[in-house]
Amino acid sequence: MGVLHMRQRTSDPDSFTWFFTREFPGVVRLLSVVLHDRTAAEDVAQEAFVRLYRRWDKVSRYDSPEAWVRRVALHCAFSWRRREQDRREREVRAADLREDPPAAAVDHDEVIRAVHALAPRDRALVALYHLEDRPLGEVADVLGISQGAAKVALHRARRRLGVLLTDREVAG
Amino acid sequence: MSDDTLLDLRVREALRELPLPEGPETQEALRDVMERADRGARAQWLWTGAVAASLVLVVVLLAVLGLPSSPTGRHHPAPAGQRTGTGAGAYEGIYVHRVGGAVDRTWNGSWLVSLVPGWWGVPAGPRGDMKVSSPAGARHVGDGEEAVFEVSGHRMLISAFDQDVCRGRPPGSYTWSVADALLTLVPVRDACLQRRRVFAGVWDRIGGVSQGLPGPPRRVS
Repeated sequence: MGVLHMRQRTSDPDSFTWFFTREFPGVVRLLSVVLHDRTAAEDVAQEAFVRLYRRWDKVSRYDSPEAWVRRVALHCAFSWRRREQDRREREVRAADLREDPPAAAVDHDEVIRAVHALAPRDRALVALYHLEDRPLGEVADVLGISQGAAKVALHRARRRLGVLLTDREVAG
Repeated sequence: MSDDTLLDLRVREALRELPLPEGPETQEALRDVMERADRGARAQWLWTGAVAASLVLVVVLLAVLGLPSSPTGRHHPAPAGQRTGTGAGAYEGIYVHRVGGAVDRTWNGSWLVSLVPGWWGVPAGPRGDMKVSSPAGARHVGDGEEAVFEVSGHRMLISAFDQDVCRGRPPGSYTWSVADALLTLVPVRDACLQRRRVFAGVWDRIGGVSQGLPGPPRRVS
């Protein structure tokens, strides 16, 4: 059944359009969590889908093209963030800017701000697990780490989130 | 309800409030993606065309000026049976190899591989393009699966199947040698058993990729 489904998807000339329409919004939202910048998230998501489009004949045969495009998108996002961070650090030598959200996003609620205080890879981990409800094995696969490492990292990220939210509530 | 469960719920609900792109935004993004991909493909074709045209021009100029490309005035590629050595020309070609005892039985049968020196249009250098064709019906392998190989002396790194059965594994390291139209690959270190099963052994050279057999070889029937 799965193979038949894949073949139909591959042979259909509109299969990429169908896949894009279904997956693009979710990838943008995932990258929004990681990058904390909606415009950048859309740009980076587009870059990942351009790469997918060029390899669609091959990737559409994979068991999980959605995992493939997320892996590529996150790779692009981490690269983009490193470049952006370097640029900002060159422009403004202020250490506290590194984790501050951009002004456009200051109205995000406590939880979103706490998530954005995590390291980028932990944000991706939390978003894949909590936002997209992906099983831990698939989360590990997308991030290119072992399932054990993903479990430990997720545990740490949740503990850090708990501390951050508690601190903010006490401070508030 | 435990604190952890409450925290999970809180995080999940907050993240799900993040907006998704609307339908028109998605359609616009789709158009952008296809345009960008087409532009990239056109640029690549133009670049390849420019390189090919330059090569043709050089060959024509050499022919017109009567400059010999070999001491006898004509280039004589070594017959397949006499190819030896470690230069790029030594391993270039299309090879066939029969696999038995693969973990996935659909992988048993004849495999074709083409080794083309040069990568991303750069004709010289240690990297090359590889196209792998599996036996008909082999699972997890596409027609003319593309990979990269890297040669350093007698060592060859092979990255085939790194998006599928060898995902997450480093490229396989092999020693290679060519003699009497036979390419021999001996694994030095390859943590991917499936790749090792396919590549390790003796390959028969059946043609040259630069001598009239362009493009990926078709699936073996």
